[in-house]
Amino acid sequence: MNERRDMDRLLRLHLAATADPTPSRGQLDALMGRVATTSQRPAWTGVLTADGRAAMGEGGRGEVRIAALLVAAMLLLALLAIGLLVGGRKDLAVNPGPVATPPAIALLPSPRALPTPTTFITPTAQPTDRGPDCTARDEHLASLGVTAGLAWGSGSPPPSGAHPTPGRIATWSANTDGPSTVDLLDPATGARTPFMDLGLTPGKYSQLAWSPDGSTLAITSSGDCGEVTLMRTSDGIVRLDPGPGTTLEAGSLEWSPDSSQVAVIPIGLAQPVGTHVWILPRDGSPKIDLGPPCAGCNTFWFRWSPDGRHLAGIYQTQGDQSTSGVAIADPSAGTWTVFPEGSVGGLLPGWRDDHRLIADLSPDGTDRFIEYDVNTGSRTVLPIHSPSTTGAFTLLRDGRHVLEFSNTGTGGNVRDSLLLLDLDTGSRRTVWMAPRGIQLGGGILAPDGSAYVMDAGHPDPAQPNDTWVIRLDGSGATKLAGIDIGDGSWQPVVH
Amino acid sequence: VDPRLVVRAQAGDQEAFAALAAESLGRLNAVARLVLRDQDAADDAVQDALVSAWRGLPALREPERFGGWLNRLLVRACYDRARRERRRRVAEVRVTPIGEPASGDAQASTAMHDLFERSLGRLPIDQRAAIVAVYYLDLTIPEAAAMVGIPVGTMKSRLHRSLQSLHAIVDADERGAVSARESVA
Repeated sequence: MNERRDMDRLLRLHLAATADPTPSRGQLDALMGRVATTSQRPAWTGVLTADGRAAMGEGGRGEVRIAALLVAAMLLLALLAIGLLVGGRKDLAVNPGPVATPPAIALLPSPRALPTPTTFITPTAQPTDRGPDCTARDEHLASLGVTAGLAWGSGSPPPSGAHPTPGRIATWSANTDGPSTVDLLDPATGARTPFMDLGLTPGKYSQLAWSPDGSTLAITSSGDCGEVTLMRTSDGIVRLDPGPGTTLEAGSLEWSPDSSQVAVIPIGLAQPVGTHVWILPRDGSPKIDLGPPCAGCNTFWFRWSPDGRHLAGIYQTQGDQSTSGVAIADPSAGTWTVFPEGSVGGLLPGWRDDHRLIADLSPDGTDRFIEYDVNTGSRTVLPIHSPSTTGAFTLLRDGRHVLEFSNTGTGGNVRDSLLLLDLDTGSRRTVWMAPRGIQLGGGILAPDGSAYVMDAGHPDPAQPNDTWVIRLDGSGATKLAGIDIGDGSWQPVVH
Repeated sequence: VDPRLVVRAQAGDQEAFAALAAESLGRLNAVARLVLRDQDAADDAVQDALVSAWRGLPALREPERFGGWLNRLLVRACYDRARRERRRRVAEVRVTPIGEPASGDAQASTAMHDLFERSLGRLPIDQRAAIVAVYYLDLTIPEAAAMVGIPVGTMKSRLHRSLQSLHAIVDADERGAVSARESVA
């Protein structure tokens, strides 16, 4: 019997059968009673004009907000200067291990040294008509500093055979009551350096991803102002505008191996129905729409092959009898190859250097590691059991090891562990076991595969999250106390 | 959701907001009750979410994203309510009626529903929210992560953890049933 699919199906049936949507007596009336006595919060209406003056919204709030932004920017610059003098928060690092200290960050003297943050990269080199809402939001974005020490500028692929070392981790610093930033976090000390100012709407931005050559940080914007913002470390911010009214799915941003283009997933395209995959060249050339791999199916977790010739992901058909499998696109031919399997496991698909894809699916009700050969179109189920007690996460860059997660106990007695599975021998070894009661989540892999960063929540949600930098050689982990980096991307530095 | 209603509500039209609330109420009730498993707390969370929506509507820049935005507000409201309820140590759980089994042996299906009911009740609220997002609202993992407000990786580990717990509880229950049968024999 296909136990896993049966469990999924029964769970869906149970939830559908027990969900109770019936409004309680007087629920709507009670709500509208509260609404009648509740004021709406005014919207932010300030818009900067080309010469930097504020076009005012109602009641002068725009001016106040802009002044607050300027003050905040000055404070941030002052903090940067102090941070450079003091040299970071070394007191936060406990149990320091062999994670390499990233290269120093050089900051430009002021944001004015950077080009205007409204450069759009489109086929016509002009911004499309994005409407007043998008325009208002655009003005908040500003660069605060750039990294230096890279061997080449944006647009050039790294030299053949170059090996990246871990730089700093780009991560969100969300602030509900003021401007938010993208920060660069030093994984050795936890010291943060503000990198980009996101303005007052951090929720608009959904994903960060460093290009493989380390030259550019890409950020996707959600909502109908969807676009890919490129923070080029050489010369500042430019924008890839995929067209008006675009909404991009969170978690769908993937750089090609030569850093020349990004794959993204737009939401809600009418025809053909299903999840489309778009490829946006970083030079502003027209986008390529690969369409959905099958009619009406959702697709996610895309990964480029090492030679950039294929893009592989997981697809899932919709409905009660949904099935999942692997979908591999050949962008140059505009074709998809689909391998239906069953239900999907937790492993992000990963490529080996020999252009074979490893994915974790359940063709027979049991999690299996399956290898797909794009050259022959064949698939091989590896003779390795993926037990339900472990969850495969990520294929390491050597293509031979899979990072797995395991946990025992519940609540305050939970013990979470990271394991390394050797795909050649099927053996597993524990890399690190978290202290009792600490629940690990998230995950950012170092560019050279030497470490994995996880956020650690406490059983008591009132306690702040910590971050653990876990060394994958098994030598331990560094705790960054009180630092919740959530999502992020680790910069590769190629020498 | 009709974006024109959202635009009207953004401008302060309470009638338009009442129409939006009425349209969303069923989904919100179902999700809140599945996540919180307490009807009173769920009703309060739904009301908190809708009042937050009313207050924050003018700042919503994409009217057609109203549904997803409201889901996120609801998840936040559920977490807030759960924290307050835990402090008050309210243990009353409303047992919702179980619908007609879809197929197979009715007794076995009822037993399975009971088992799921108990198992879900033993999961922490954040894991239940993840399961409801994926298995009830049928969201993809990235969509569910956006709704719950966590990174995709965290959603994956959370789902993994929840399904693993469910499996463990179901397995333990089945082992208990076998051992009970053996002791009777």
